[in-house]
Amino acid sequence: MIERWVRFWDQREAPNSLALIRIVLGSVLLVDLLLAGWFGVVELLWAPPPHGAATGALALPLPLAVRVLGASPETGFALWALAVGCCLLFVLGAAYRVASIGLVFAMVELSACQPAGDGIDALLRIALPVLAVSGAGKVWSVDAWFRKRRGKPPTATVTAWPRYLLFLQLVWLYTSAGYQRNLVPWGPLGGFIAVGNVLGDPHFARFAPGSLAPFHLLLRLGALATMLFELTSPLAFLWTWLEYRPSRGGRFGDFVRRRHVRWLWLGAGVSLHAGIALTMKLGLFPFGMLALYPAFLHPSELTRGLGEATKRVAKLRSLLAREHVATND
Amino acid sequence: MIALVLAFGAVAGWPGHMPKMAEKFPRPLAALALEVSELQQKVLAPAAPVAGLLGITSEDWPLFPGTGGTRYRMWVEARKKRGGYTLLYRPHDDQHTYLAGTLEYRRVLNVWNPHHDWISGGYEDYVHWLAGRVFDDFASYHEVRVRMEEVTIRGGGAGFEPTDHFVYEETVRRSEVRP
Repeated sequence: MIERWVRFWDQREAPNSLALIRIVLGSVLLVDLLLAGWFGVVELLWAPPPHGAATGALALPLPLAVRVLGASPETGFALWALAVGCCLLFVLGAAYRVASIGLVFAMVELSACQPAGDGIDALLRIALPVLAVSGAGKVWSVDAWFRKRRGKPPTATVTAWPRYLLFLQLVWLYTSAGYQRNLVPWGPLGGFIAVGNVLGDPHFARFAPGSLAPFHLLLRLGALATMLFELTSPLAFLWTWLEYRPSRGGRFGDFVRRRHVRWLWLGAGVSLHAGIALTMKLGLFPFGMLALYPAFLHPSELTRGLGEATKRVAKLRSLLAREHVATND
Repeated sequence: MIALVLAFGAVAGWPGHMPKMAEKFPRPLAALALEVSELQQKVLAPAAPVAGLLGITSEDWPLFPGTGGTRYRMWVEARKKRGGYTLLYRPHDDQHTYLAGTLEYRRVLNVWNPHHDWISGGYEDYVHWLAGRVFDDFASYHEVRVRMEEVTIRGGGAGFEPTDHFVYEETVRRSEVRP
């Protein structure tokens, strides 16, 4: 039993899924951080009173940066600049290990200075250290490019456990969210009105509250689908296992594979977050969640999918080029 | 090591508002659930230094657990030395959009958006910061007021009902932030 457990967590795989998470998650975080600079709110968010609304010198325990540099607007700005710089290097995969550890440090310090955050901030503080110790920088990165230039062979495999942990983290997040929901607005007793309620909240609705009332049936279906998706999320392990083991699961396994249940579940998750991004003002949340979705994909599935997409784009390009020549003739 | 992390994660995922959830449980189950809640901190104590170092506070994810009921709508107003208040910003009010992009940026919104029965500790400082911005942008204003109107969600996507009842009211005079 212990041997099987160790063997499972000790598996190796190509680094592509982790690298894609690094690039997409880092990019959305970078945009989110740059927005603070764009809106001129770095001081408000991370400087202590009277300059801003950060906890500053009152935080318990005192953030390390505040202890060393003092509670000042300059400290808040320095932390933000460190986060932006490290995040850029993290996306590019340049000096990956140092940059990712720097990013983890900066994000922890920023949240200590400004504790008013949301779920995605907490999730990032869990996902970033996992990515920092992973092989996410071994491919599609500046480090890999330098390695190639030095004549070293590319890293073929890295440990798979960071991806498994992120997979587990996402499934747990959905499960935890699902069973903690108040069953009146989120269930049949209240008529599944929860999504409609959120879209009526003036602080979160993207469209004018009330303007989506004609689609109330769709909103109810949205709440039902959200609950089904979240409460069945632990089954994602089963769907994935059955897909990777074509000989297992008997008739049920065949049914799951034939009906592409795993892909339907993933599609439901993507639709859920796309719907949130479209209709609610939740900032980074839906994008940050979707950025972690490559954790659900084995690197071979990802590279196969990207290969297919590249082929299709090339085909489309040649078709367009031929049409262009024909039109000119 | 991974098994240990998973075990701590599972304990940290025990819902923080279990006492409220347990009210609906059958009595023996409720007692057990509450006991686990009390044990949680003791079990997590050995992992607390590492979790604290990484800023990991919980594995409990109550995302939009309850919706509807009473919510809020922020009003940002300012006035000259004499006269009444002028509305500068209010969410979903096309006529009053002062600093809308900035105020609706999620990190700023997290500071001023009230939760069910509490508001961020930085709210008062946020109001002072906002008042400073207003005074910089409008030389004529003497006083800024920020307050939250309680609104009732109608349900079914039908929007909200204003109540004309305000809470979390803060007023800042120019002399306080731009002496």
